[in-house]
Amino acid sequence: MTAATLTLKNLTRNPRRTILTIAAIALPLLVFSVAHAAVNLVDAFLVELAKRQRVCVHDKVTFTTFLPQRMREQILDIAPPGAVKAVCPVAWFGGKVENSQSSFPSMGVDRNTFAEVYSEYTISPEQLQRFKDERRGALIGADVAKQFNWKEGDRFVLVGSLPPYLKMEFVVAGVIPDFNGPWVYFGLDYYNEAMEKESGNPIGVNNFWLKCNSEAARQWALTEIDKNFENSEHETQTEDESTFFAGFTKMGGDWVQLVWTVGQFIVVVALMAAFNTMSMAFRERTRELAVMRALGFPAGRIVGMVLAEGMLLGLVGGLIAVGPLYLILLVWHPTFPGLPGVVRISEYTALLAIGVALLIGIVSALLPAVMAGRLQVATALRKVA
Amino acid sequence: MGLLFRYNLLSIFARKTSTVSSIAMIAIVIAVFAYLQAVTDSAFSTMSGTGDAGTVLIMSQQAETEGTSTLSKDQINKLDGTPGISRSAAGPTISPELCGFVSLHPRNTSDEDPGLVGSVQRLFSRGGMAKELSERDAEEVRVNAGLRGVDFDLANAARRNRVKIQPGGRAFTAGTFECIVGESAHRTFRVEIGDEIQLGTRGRRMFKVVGIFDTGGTAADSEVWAYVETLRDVYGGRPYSSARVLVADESAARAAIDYVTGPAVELGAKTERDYFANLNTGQTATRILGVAMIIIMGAAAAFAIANTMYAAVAGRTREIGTLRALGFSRALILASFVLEGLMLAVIGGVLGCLASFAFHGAQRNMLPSTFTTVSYSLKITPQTVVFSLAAAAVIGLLGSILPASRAARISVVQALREA
Repeated sequence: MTAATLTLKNLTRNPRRTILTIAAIALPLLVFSVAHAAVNLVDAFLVELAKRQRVCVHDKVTFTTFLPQRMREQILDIAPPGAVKAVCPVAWFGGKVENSQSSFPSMGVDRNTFAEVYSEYTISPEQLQRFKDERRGALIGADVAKQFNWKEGDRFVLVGSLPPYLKMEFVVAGVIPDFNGPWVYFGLDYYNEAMEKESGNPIGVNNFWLKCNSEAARQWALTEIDKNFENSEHETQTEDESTFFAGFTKMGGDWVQLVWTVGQFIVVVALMAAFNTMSMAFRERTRELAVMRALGFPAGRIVGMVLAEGMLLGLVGGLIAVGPLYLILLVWHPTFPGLPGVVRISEYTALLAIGVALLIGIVSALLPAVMAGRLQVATALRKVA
Repeated sequence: MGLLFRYNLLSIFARKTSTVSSIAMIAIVIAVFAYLQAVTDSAFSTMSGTGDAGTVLIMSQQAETEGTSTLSKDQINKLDGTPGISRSAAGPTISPELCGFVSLHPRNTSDEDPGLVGSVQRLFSRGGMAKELSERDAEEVRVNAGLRGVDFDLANAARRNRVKIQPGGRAFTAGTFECIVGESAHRTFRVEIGDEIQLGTRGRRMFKVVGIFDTGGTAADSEVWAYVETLRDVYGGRPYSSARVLVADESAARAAIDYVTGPAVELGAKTERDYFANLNTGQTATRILGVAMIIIMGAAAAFAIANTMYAAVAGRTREIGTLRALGFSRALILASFVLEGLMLAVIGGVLGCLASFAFHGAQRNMLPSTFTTVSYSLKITPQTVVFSLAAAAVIGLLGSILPASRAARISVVQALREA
C-alpha cells in the first residue's frame, strides 16, 4: 500500500461524491474553454488582418457616405512607387432576394483588383476569369449558395437596400467557401450602369481598400492619404482593417469582452465547488487521519496526501472538461459565421484549462491539508465525526 | 412541520464551510445570469420604449429603416391631408427628419469609470495576442452614431414634448452650424459641449455642440441632432428620410396609416412603436449565451448542492432515524431535506441578485438593424429578479431531490443502530 494507492483508494471510497465533484469542476471548465476558444478565434482573426496589410480609405464623417470613383486614381497618383499593390473600390448594395426577409451584405467591387487586394481567398483562375468576363458575374459565399441552393452558372435577382432600390440580375461566377459569411461581390461597373440608368447619377464608393506592399507603405497610407485630401471637397479617414472591424465589434456591444468576463467568473465557481468537497471530505476523515498520525505518519506526509487528492480531482476534472471537446473538434470543424478559421481548442487553451483545474484542486485542498497537518492526535481521536 | 423547518434551518448553519461555499457558488452563477438577462432585456426595452403608439412614422414604401428611406418635399406636403393630425397654432404637427450617420470616438469607459464596474472591467481586460492591437484600436476606433436633422420644435411636438434640454446647454438655433447630442451619446462618445463635430459630404463643415438633450431613455438619446435644412444643405441637397405625424392615440393612428399608405400619398407608414419594436436588436447571441450558461453552470451548482446534501444526510443518519421514530413520515422527511437544499439555493440566489445590482445603470452598446449604435443602461428589473430566484430554486430543487429521497428511505432500526 503506497501513498499513491492510498490516495486513490480515498477518492474511490465515496464514488458518488468524487463523481459529483469532478462534474462540478469539469462543467465550469468546459464553459471556460469554450469562452477562451471563442475569444481566441476573434483575436486570431484580428492578428491575421494586421498581417494582410490592408488599409481602407473612406469619408471622414462616416463610411456610409459615397465618394466619387475618381478618387481611386488620385490615391494611386500620390502613392510612392511600389508602395501599393492594388486599390479596390467597394460600394455597398445591401441585397435582398425578392420577397424574402433577410438581406445580406452584397457589394460592388472592381473586378480587376479584387483578387489582388483580397489575396487570401481561394478563387480559382476559372472562377476569376468568369468574374472578370461575365458582366453580371458575382462571387458568392458558401452560406448564401447553400441558403438559396445556387450553383455556379445560376442566375439570381437581388433588390438593393438603398434608394433607388435597384433590382439587378446576377450570374454566379464562383462559390467561394472561405468567404466565411454571406458575402456577394459583383462588378462595380455593372452597379454603376444600373445606377446611371435609374437615377442619372453614377454610383459612388464607400471604401477604397488598399493592399500595401510593406510596413512602411502602410504607415505612409495611414498618415499621408488623409493629409492629401484635407480641406478638399472629400475629406478622408484612412484606417487599418483591424481598426475598421474593431468599430463594428464595439458597436455591437463588445460581446468578446462579455464572454471573457463571464469565463473568468466561471473559474471562481469551479473553485468554490472543489473547496466545498475538500472541506467536507476532510471533516469526515478527521479520525482516520488522526489514526495515521498516531501510527507515525509525519505531518508533512499527510499534508502531501490531502494535496495530492485535491490535485487528482482537479486533474481528472480538467481532462474531462477539455478532453472530449478537444477530440470532437479534431474531427469536426465548425466555423463561426463571419470569422475565418475553425472553432478549435488550441493546445494552449487545453493546457491552460487543465492547469487551472490542477490549481483549483490544489488551492481548495490547501486549507484542509494544513489543518490535517496540524491535527492534535489525542483531540482528534476523541472526536465523534 | 414547523419543527422540521426549524431543524433544517439550524442544520444549515451547523456546517459552516460547506454551506458558505455552496451559497457562494450559487450567488455567483445567479449574479452572472441576472447580468446576462439585464443585457438582453434592457436592450429590448430601450428599443420598444422608444416608440409612441400615437405617433405615425412615415418612410418610403420599400425602406426598412429610416436611414435607408428618402422622402421629397412634395411627398411631405401631401401629408397635410392626413386625418386626425394634431394641430397647434403653428400648423399640423408634421416633423420632417433627415437620418444619417456620423462616426464618433467612443470613450474608453474602463479608464474613465472609477467605480466598481470600471475596476471589474480593468481586472478582466484580456491580454493575449490582440492586446497591442486592441490598445491602439481603443484610441483610434470610431463607431457609427445616428445623426438626425430636425426642426427642434416640430420634432419635440411629434414626440409629445418628451425632449428636454439639460441645464447648461440649449437647443441649436435654426439655420446655424450647431448641434445637440443625446444624453447617452454624451456618455458613450468623446463629445462635450463646445466641441465641434464634422458633418456633411462636401468640404469641412464643423457643427458646434451647444447642448445635451434627454428623451427619457429611448434610442434617440444616442443620436446627434442638428437643424434639418442646414443638414440637407451640407449633405448636398439630400432629400428627407422620414416624417413623424402626431395623432391623438393608437386608434387614430390606424386611420392615419390607411390614408398614408393609400393612393393619395402612397408611402410606407407604421406607428413609431411598431417600427422600433420590430427592429432586430442584435441580442440573440447574448440570449443564447445566457441560456446556455445558466443550464451548464446551474447543473454544476446543482451537483455541488447534491454533494453537500449527501454529506449532510450521511452525517445525520441517527437524527433522521430519531425523527422517523418520533413519527414523522417519509414524505415529510423528503420534503424537509428538499426544503433545506432549496433554502441554501435561494439564499445564494438572493445574494446573487443583490450583487447584480452593482451593474444597475452600467452602459452597454447594441447595434440594431438601423446600423447605428444605441447605448443603453442595464436595468435589473423585478422580472429579472423573479427569473433569477426561480433559476436558483430550480437548481436547489434538482440538487437536493436525490439526497432527500435517500434520507427518506433510511430504515429506522438501521439508523438508530448506527454509531
